[in-house]
Amino acid sequence: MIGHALEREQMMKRSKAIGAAVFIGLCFICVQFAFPAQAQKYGSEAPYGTEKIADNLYTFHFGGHRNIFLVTDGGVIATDPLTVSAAQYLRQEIAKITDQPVKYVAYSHSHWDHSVGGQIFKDEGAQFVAQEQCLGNMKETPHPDVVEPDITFTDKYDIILGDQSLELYYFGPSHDNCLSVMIARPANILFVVDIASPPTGWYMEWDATMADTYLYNLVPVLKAVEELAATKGVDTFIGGHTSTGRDKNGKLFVHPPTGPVSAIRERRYFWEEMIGAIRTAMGNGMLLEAVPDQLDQSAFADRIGAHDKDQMRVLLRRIGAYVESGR
Amino acid sequence: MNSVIRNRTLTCLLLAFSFSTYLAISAQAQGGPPWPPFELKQESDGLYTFQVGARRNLVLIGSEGVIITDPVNEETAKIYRDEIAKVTDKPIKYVVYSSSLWGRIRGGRVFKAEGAQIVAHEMCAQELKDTPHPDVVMPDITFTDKYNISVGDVSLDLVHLGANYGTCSPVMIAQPTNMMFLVNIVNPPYAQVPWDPTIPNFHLHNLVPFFHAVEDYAAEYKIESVMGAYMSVERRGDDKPYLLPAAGPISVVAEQRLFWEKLFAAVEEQVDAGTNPLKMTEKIDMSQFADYYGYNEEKMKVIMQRVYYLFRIGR
Repeated sequence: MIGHALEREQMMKRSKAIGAAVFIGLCFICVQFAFPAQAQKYGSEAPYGTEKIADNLYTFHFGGHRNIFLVTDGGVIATDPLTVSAAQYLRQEIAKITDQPVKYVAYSHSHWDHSVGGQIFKDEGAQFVAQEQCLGNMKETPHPDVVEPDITFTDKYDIILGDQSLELYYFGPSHDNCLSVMIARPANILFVVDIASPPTGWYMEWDATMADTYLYNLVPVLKAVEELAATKGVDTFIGGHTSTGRDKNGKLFVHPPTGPVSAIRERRYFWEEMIGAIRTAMGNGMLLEAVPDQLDQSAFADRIGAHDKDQMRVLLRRIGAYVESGR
Repeated sequence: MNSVIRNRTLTCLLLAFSFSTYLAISAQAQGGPPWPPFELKQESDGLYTFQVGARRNLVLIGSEGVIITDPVNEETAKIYRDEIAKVTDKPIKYVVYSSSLWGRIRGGRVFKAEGAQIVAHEMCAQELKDTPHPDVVMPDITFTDKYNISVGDVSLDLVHLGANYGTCSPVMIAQPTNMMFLVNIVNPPYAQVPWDPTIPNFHLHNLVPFFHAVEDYAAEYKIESVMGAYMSVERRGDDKPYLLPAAGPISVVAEQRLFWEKLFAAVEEQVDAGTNPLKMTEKIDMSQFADYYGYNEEKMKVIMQRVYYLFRIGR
């Protein structure tokens, strides 16, 4: 227990500044470039690019969103098309690297900001893969530019192509009820969307209202992802969003796409600290309505990069509702 | 009355009285609101409401027993049971859960110990397996689309019309009164801004279809009145708080749907325009919402932030 506390304290010091940059970066990128009208305005000027992560493993970013793709001598395995425009740019980027067709597109989850735009890959014969509940979600909340999966799975699925593979793992509802994490092989890199972002876990939650998030299962899922990484010997992960920072001259830069899996553990700590504090306070009689203003945040507020007082009130209120109601 | 005063005062009063049973009881003890901290009140033949704190539940007393909704918590359940015993010696046979959310459904063992069966939608049962609580009793009886509970000359119809507040909250109709009872999603007598601005567990993508289904059901079965599960109060010319009637005309359902439709349309327009989700209230004409019960702009800011994500992620 003491070692755990010391470890947390050491992480706190390192993480706070990085967390501020991560949040500011996520805000900057997402606000500037993730809004439909902005995307239309920028069109081909929207910031996008491809980076090589390892042999045959690449990451593509479009605005504030990111995916990965694997290039094999049997075809390409892509993930999350993001938007119609993004998917078109992604297809062009892939074509610069290989003339192999895209054979698979794996969805991380069903939310439209990641799943839109796949038709360009469907048209060339790609099969779409997702956790089975994603299909139900897409039928329930259809979008004209979302391609429904052809292949669905319950807990685990391996997409194998040539000498590469993408392993998909589902640990229960978290952000969305069908979010899977993925391990790219043989690079041994984890791809985790929305529930954690490198390089640190101590950042302000982008959506303080926690839309379509299963708070009761967030910590267990993060723990399962940590255990997966440990079991599989994975020490690096890529997130589903870009993050930026400022250098010593104040110039904006984009953080490297990869970060240590320890950031996933930090993100779990982020939730555990807040949920624990609220549970204790409400157990001692603090009313839900009083949590945003009266909760003692001293144990964690200073660790959170770009701590935003108003958004924190919203987040604490939402967590309080979970503590009171179970969901 | 002046709607601005009504709305602002409602907010203050509801904040003061809260949803806590203890707060309501202590408030009364300290000379709080001019109504009792709990009350079992007859509404019509066989139909009662049990009000405790800010919550309201149904109690149906029939020739063969009693049906109640939501035990709330253990302390309240004992008061609930004791108050019912003052008006009938019939046994409480059924306890109906309005959802799987703990805030209203703890304490059922008080009734279970006396032989009551717990009834809930099947998704509630599944959700309670995922999120168990030591004070929440698992349902004995579950249903999919529709279920009727009868205790002789009165009965309660439970109808599942889709996800709304939670996935498993049924519409309830007390018979023979033909009174609809809705929990959280509509609270007569006025359409209102949601109490919790983070609108947790609201299935926004299905709200409007749900409301249409409720209105269609009410029209088909000639239901003219609806009761809500929370107290509403307002101040009048003498500046005193008045408890509003528990029931209202069924038209409140359509009025509540219109609130959501207006809200969704306003936010969607801003999403298409690329407006920051935290700046919605600066771009939207808020006067269209100002007359809604419980309105305040800070609350609407958060609600609009949540609704923004409906259009970004689909849920």
